[in-house]
Amino acid sequence: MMKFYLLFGLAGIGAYGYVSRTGWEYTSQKTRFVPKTVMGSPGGYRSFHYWHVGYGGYRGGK
Amino acid sequence: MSGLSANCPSCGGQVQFRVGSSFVTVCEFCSAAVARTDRGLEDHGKVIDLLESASPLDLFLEGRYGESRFQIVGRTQIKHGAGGVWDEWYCAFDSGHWGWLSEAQGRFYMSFASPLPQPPAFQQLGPGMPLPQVGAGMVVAEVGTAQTLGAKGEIPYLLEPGKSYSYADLSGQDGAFGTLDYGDSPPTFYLGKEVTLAEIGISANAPARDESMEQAIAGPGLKARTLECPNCRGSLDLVAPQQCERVACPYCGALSDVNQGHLSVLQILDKNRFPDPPIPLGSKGMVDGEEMQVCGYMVRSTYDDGDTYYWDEYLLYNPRLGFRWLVDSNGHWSMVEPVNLADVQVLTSLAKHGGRNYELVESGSGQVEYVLGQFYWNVEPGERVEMREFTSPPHTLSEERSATEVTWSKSTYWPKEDVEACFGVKLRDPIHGTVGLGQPYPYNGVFKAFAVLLVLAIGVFVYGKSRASGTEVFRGTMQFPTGSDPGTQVVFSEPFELKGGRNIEVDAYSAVDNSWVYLQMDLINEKTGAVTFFDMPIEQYSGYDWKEGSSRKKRVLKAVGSGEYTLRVAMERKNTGAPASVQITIREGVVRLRYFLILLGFLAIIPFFTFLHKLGFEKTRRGEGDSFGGDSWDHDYYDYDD
Repeated sequence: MMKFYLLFGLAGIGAYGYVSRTGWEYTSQKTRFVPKTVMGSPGGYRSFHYWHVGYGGYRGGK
Repeated sequence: MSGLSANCPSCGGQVQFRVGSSFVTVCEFCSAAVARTDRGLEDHGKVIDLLESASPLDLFLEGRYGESRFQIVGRTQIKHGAGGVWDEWYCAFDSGHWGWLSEAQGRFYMSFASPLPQPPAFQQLGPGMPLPQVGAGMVVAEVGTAQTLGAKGEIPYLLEPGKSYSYADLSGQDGAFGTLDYGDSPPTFYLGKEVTLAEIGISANAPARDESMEQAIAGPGLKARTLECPNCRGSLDLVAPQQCERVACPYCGALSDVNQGHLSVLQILDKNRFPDPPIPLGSKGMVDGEEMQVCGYMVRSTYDDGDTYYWDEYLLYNPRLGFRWLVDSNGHWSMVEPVNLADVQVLTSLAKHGGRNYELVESGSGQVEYVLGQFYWNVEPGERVEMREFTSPPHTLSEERSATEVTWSKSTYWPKEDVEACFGVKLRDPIHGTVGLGQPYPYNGVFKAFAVLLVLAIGVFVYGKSRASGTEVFRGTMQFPTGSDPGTQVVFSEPFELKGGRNIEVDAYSAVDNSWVYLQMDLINEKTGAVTFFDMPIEQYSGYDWKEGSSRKKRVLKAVGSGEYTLRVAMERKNTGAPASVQITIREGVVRLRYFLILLGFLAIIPFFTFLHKLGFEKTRRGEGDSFGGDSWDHDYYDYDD
């Protein structure tokens, strides 16, 4: 039991160490690549939200 | 020492007084107790022959006590009121004084006559009674009567063969020992302490410690080492013949009294009531480096709440160690050895011994139900004592109190496998769901591991904190035009550098008041075109006595690659009249306390449930509530009939 728990705990500490060292976060952020040509084109770039949510989607808490 | 030779007034044989201060010498020819008085030599009557024993002591052995040297010059055997015999060896010191070296059940006590101005009356004494007037911490361990049996050599008092007298044995702390001898008036007080043979310099003269038990008991002992059961004529092998008071025949169950090698049947026990002991009589095993032999077995019981509970006790013997007990309760085994009464301090539900605290777990009366084999006292079914059990795993302190004696013993839990290996037998497993009184909690290691992991986790956290810089890589205020179309309110930050491999904290502040802004952000790598997008709503509302939300919002992003980045911020807001600026701060490599707390919670899961399990375990040990997954007193284990 103690050995199992030690392994269990060491695994947890290892995971925590990995998170601390690599800057991993539990988050919903997403990453996409937008070609520079698109980004540099006037009016060519729109936010992810623009295409997937659109403006005016948030209505606030009240 | 001065020598005096004379003729025995009884037989005319030559008797010697080697020690000038001895009162009596026993005639080697006729066993007369010859006393020297101012009227000359007197015959005080015949003493009976000594029961030979495997004692390592003998007449004329020399030893030392502290810096003083002595020689053993005399010996008497005293019969205990409850049966059993102990030896008194008389030590003549070079300085002219006498020491009493008592030997009982393999233990030795050296004491000296001491003045006691106001000795208590015998009738006032009771077991367990403190007697501070005779010494700090002195307690009455036993009161009883004794009778002088045999004697040999020179005796430092006027021995009267066969005389009975009352006495009280006292125990003090750190092995202190005392006796109040009420055979004289006023009573004589002897004070001393428990000693080992090595301490009194006799071990070198004693038989080798590795001498086999067979050799040790091969002496004359009782007239025969093997006796015949007077009921069934079965052969009874006596392991400790010189200390045997009762024998229960393993063939027919006849319980016999032993008197000078002669057996007389007291009663016939129902042999079918209890099964044969799983460790047969005569089995041998190594205990504390000495070979011990099972010489007796008894079943005892206690009655509580309408139920009778049984346990088994094995009496073990070794001439060096004396007697020990091996106890089997529900398949939980423990080895028991006596402890000095005065070394135990009892505070209601707590007992202290040897710097260890023991907690009271059980109390009640215990009764002998059945016996098998040989015993050093006049045991018989129905014998009762009051008991208290205190535990501090793996040890248990037990008090047994009768009308004349109070004894304490310390037991140490023995895993079943150790008992099996010791005696070469196969035993049944402990009953599922039961807990031995001294059984250590099997998962205590989890708590130790938790402590280790906790230290390790804190170390990792501190290391991570020292490494995390929390470097501010960007700070700026983004202005949004008031009154314009929200869909076009997009602002880009100045470029900033990220080292990569570290988390990123985005801190946004907008002075919202009963309003909200919704920020859509894109973190753009200028070189690769990688865009990390996320959103941050900020809202705050308040009333007369309430407030919710906040004008500040933080969000931590996972690490991105190193390079030059720009932050694109698009804002939606409740109305165009709301504040149109957002202060944004970006830090790289921040400490995440949340994950550390999650880690602590993770590490605590198993210890938490182990702790709950331990509570149940301890509750079962104390016999409270339900058993621990089963019947805590399983009668079927023993197949006993009530």
